[in-house]
Amino acid sequence: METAMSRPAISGAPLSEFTGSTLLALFETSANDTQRANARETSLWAQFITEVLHRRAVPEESQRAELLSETLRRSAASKESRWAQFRVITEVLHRRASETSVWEHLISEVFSRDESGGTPFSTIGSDESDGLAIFNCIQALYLSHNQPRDRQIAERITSLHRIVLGEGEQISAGSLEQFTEFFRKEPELAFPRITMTPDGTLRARWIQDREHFVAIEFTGKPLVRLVAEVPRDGGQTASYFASEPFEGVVVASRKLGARFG
Amino acid sequence: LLAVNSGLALGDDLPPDHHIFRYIGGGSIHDDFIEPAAFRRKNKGGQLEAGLSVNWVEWFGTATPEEAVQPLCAVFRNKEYKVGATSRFALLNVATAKESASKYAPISILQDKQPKDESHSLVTAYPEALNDEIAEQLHKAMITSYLTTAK
Repeated sequence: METAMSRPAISGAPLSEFTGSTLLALFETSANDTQRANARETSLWAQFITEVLHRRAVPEESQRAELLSETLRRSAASKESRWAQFRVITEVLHRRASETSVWEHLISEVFSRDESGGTPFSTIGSDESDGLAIFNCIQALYLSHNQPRDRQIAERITSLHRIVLGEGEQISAGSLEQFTEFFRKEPELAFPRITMTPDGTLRARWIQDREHFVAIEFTGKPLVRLVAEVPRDGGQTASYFASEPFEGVVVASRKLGARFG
Repeated sequence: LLAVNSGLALGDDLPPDHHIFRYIGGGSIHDDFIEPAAFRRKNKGGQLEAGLSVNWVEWFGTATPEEAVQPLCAVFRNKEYKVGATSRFALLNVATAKESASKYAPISILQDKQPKDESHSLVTAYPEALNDEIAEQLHKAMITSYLTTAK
């Protein structure tokens, strides 16, 4: 890592205070310095933060850090975009600020590391825009007000993303964006089963039992796909296969008797 | 299961008491739940596949379906098809699958032998508009599923 970039800023603060907010402040100072504010620096800073996350050895944090790092490292997007990504990482760190005791060791370790030693992150080939869509989805869900459910969803998307990449497939960016918008608009719905269809679109399914469920497939288009089975009188089951406008799909489903609990 | 590695020609119906495997990618699985859309024909370049790809289990001549899992994985790898670490093979009986699908449409399950995949078969002969409906019914007909890492 370039010492001219990192050490002067770091040395001004006790290592134990390196929470997300102090890192963000350091980065802002650095970025305002035109001589040092360049893409290389931004990239190294982002790499540093994700390495710190990774090295904390908390499995869920590590997995998330790895995903963030993949996105950042592949991103050839504008500096502003990287800024946005950096802010999310620091936000995640900030929320864990109580665990500052581990920081001193981690930061020392990272800064003493020779950059030629590489990083623990493997590069997985993926389209850049899809990588950013994944990142934006996770960002939106982590920063939402329905923390427990949306964090679960973000973690499921992270896991799903990695599984499908390993099989040479990828989640449709349009579907993912629509999926994220849906869950941010519908905070009261329970955590569903979340899968990817063979066409790359996301499906969420709320299952009461074998013949009582509702599934929404996020096509990324104005009409989403609705599949539902709902019990009726006399032991009968009503089946629905329909396309519904995205905006009204929950209302339409409930009118059929579907439950999202 | 009995060894029946021959006897059917391309396009013949699989015997009703025989079985098929459908590959379920890890993305279609959430914990123990398999998403029925995994039984849907794929849309490739705006065109739906002619049939749903499955594999004829009895072709492998193994004592149990589970024992056919690894030979089938080898076939997939030989075709340079990625077999995911969390993927599974769903097991269906031919007659039960047809009966379940008949709620919406009659289907055929045919031998579709390919050079590197002789057990390859197709679930076919149903209209594109019923892709989701048939997928849900095939899912209901599933007997069990095996991890592709099963020995």
